[in-house]
Amino acid sequence: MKLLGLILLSCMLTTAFAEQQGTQQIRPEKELKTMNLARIAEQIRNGKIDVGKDYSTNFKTGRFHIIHADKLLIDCNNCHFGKDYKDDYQIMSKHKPMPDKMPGRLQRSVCLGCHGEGGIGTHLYGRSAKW
Amino acid sequence: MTKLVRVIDMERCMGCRSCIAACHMENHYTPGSPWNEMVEYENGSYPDVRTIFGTMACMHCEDPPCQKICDEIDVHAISKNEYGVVTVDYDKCTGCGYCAPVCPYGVPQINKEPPQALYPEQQTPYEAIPSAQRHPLHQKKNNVMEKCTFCWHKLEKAITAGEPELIGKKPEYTPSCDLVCPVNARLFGDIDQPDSEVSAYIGKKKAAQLKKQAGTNPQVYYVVRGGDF
Repeated sequence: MKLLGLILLSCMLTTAFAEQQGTQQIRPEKELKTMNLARIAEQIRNGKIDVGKDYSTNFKTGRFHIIHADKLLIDCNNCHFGKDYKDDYQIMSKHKPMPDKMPGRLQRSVCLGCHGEGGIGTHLYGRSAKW
Repeated sequence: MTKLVRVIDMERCMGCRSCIAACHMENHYTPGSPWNEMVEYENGSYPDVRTIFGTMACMHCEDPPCQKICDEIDVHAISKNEYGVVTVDYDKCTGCGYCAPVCPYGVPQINKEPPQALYPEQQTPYEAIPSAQRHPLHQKKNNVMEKCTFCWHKLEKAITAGEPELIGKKPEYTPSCDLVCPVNARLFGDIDQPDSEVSAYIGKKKAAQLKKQAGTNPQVYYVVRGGDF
């Protein structure tokens, strides 16, 4: 009976160890990516990375898209999505016709991820109990 | 302290769009850059279906991200006054459009159209007033950000007359959209007065702010079926 108990205990410990190893393998990758983005963002803020002086949302010359798409390499699809609406659509634009040069609606949760309290971007949004 | 808030009861709203027409007449916005817009969606499944209506305008957030980003890029065109009203200085606005993507409610409208007459044949009495003689918030320009001002030009009159307690009670001191609602789905007043109509209504009907996850603390409350969402 004691032997059976010992075998069971060792099995549980082995499983728990394997699970821990698994999470440790994923976590550093995510942390590394966030740290990398934070480092680039800091360099942009310090002026070490040139993003131009055109404060506009023009997707070729404006800082907004140069910072987010060119330097931080955020994929267009992360913010803009097709003609389908997700839960977080821009309320007032829901019933408006699609602007010619805009490849979709803006998904707000992407902004909140970095620009919320404690995020790596400039702090624009407040703390939220729900977030 | 005075904190002006609006309550919109989506259970009462029937989608008549009187508030939108009133805003258009009062503020003369261009149709492509609306200051107030009706949103409608269907709820339920056949045969138990209903349409829910609600109007969306500026939420006049307590922590407005549009102002934060505007200050961040040293333009300082957006400000929030002591009554909680967020306004835009058209002379300072560069039309960069940064405020539009950061607003969780999609409110800022970058106006690219010149103001048009309501009727091509004749001017309305308001249109006949030269631009320079209008309220600064009505001196429209091209390529600047525009949005709802809580009819600040009317609220300002109450403050100048020393009657801020009558805001939301006297028609001339109340935003036009809140005056015209035929089903009393809109209320406007000071939430800091515990006995005010808006305070009581928010408490009684459990009105909630939309998109709380953005943490901007909007000053417009909605009564929606099932409470908060």
